[in-house]
This record gives sequence, structure tokens and C-alpha cells, in this order.
Amino acid sequence: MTPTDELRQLWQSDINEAIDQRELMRELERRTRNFDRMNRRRDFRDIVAMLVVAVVYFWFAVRAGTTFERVADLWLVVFCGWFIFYLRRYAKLSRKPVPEQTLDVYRQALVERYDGQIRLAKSVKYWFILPMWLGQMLYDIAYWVNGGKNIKFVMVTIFVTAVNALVWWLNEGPAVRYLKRKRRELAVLVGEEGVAK
Amino acid sequence: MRSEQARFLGIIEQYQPALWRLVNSYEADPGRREDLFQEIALGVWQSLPRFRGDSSERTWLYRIAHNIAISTLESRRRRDTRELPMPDSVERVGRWSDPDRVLVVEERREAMLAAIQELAPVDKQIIVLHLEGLSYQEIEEVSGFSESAIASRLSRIRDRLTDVIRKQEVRK
Repeated sequence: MTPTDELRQLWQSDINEAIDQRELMRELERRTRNFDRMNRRRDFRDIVAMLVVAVVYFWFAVRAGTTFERVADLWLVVFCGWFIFYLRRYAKLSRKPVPEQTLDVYRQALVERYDGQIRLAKSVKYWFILPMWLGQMLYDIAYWVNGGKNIKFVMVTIFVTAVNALVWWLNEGPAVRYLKRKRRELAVLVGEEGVAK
Repeated sequence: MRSEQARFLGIIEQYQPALWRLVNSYEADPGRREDLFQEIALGVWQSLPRFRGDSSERTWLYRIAHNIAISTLESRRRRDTRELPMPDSVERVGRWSDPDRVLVVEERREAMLAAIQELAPVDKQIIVLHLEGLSYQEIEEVSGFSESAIASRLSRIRDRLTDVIRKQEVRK
């Protein structure tokens, strides 16, 4: 008997375990239902949030005293829509890969999900901070143009800029470092590195 | 839907022993095996409508099972490895009746299983596929690695497992 035969015989001598098929189907249907419900809730929440924010800023735009304020409100309406659209689009791209791929492609896909999150965190300055900062600054400038105090204008500018800079730093610094560490751990767990093809 | 369900249950019935062995190779904790088995079954159920017969049913199934096993381990690692409750509803049944034979074979098998569980994921996947009787070509189809890479890895893993079993016998 070759070592392979011996190992195979031993391996296949495992005690067979049986599972109740009706119970299995019930369990699978329950899990599928929960998954669908979770997706529906998330979609509903995103859409409601988008609509509420858009309606509030649109209402502000209608009631705005000056054109400058109206532009700032509309800018923020568009920005909120863009923000939710971007996150939902990204969420679709970062879903778990389909499991019927070959094992090496699947492993790479799992690791690449972290790459996607790292890219998202690194590009936050373009898709979140810059448009958000511009909208807030438009508000601030509108206040100043309408005769607001210089000192308040400067203070608000500094505060808004500092908060956005902090968000930028948190994403590009600690968040990216954390994601890179998680990516390394995953690569080790799934044995992604050093596979000879 | 009915025929899909019948097809799914047919696949589960046919491959159940192999799937349990695969689950055992990934999961040392008996309490979590049931959950992993159900995750794999769910993956098969959800992938079934996409199966067009481009590969054999067997290689398709092994791809899903190994991939789900890997991603389940990954998800658990992120969830701070806490014990998952095992559903009471699903009944597991042992089928062997000869206790002496169970004991002898079980000890050797447990030693081999423990060694397999400790292997790197890629090695584990390749040896499990090999032990389930897949040809090199089929393993290539499932794993995406070339036959030569598979052969060299298998040679090394087989030596290691044989060594583990021999040592276990010497200790007795």
C-alpha cells in the first residue's frame, strides 16, 4: 500500500455524519431571509437619509436670503446625494466574491477587498473632504459677503479647515495603517503569499 | 424552485461525507463545525442557479466549499473569535457501530486530522482535494495552481502526514 493509499483510506474512514435535510432547508431559508431583510433595511435607510438631507437643504435653499447662500445650500444637497451614491456604489464593489471561483482567484479577491478599502480611505480627500469643505466654505463666505464679522469669518474658516484636516489625517493615517495591518493578517491567514503557480 | 431544491438536496446528500471531512479539516472545534457546514450548504444553495456545467459538479462544489471555509474563518477572525451557538435543530448522527475499530482508526485519523488542521491554507486545500480522490487535473481546476506546483506540494505534505502517523504509532 502506498503512502497515498494509506492516507486516503484513513481520511475516508472518518465517521460519516448525517444531517436532517428538512432542517437544513429550513435553516438555509431562514439565513437567506435574514440576509435579504438586512439588505432591504440598509437600502431603505440610505435612501431615507439621502431624501431627508436633500429636502432639508433644498428647503434652506428656497428660504435663503442671498444667491450665495442658495448656492451653498444647493451645493450641499448635491454633495449629500453624491456621498451616498459613492458609498453605495463602493459597497457593491466590495461585496464578498462569488465562491465558485478557483481557490487562488478567490484568495486574491478577499485580499483585494482590503485594497479597495485602503484606496477608499486614501482618496477620501477627493470624494468627501474637498466637496464638503467647499460647501462649508461657501456658507462661510456667504456670511461674510452679507456683512458678517471678519473675526467670526476667520474663526469659522479655521475651525472648518481644521476639522476637515483632522478627518483627512484620520483616514490617511490611522485608518490606512489599520487596514494595511488587517490586510497582512488576512494574507497570512489565507496563505496568499508565496504560492508557486 | 422545487426541482432546484431537489437538485440541491441531491448534491448535499451525495457529497455530505466529503463535506464533513472538509469541514473537520478547517474546524478543530466540534461546536463550530455544524455552523461551517451550514455556511457551505448556503453557499452551494445560492450558487446553484449560476451553475452552468462549465466544470464538473464535483470540482464546482469543492471550489465553493473551500472558498466559503476560508472566508468564514476570516469573518470569525474579524468578529473576535467568540463561540457561536450551535443550532439545536439540526441533528447529527454517528454511523459506526464497532467500538474497537472506531478507537484504533480514530486515533490515527485524529492525529492526521490535527496535522492537516495545522497546515497552511493552500497546503490544506490541496491535500484535502487529493485525499478525496481528485486527480491532479481536477485539483488544478479547483485551486488554479499548476499540476507541477500541486505535485511538489503534495509530495512534501504526504511525507509530513505519514511522519505524523508513524510517530503516533510509535508513541502507542
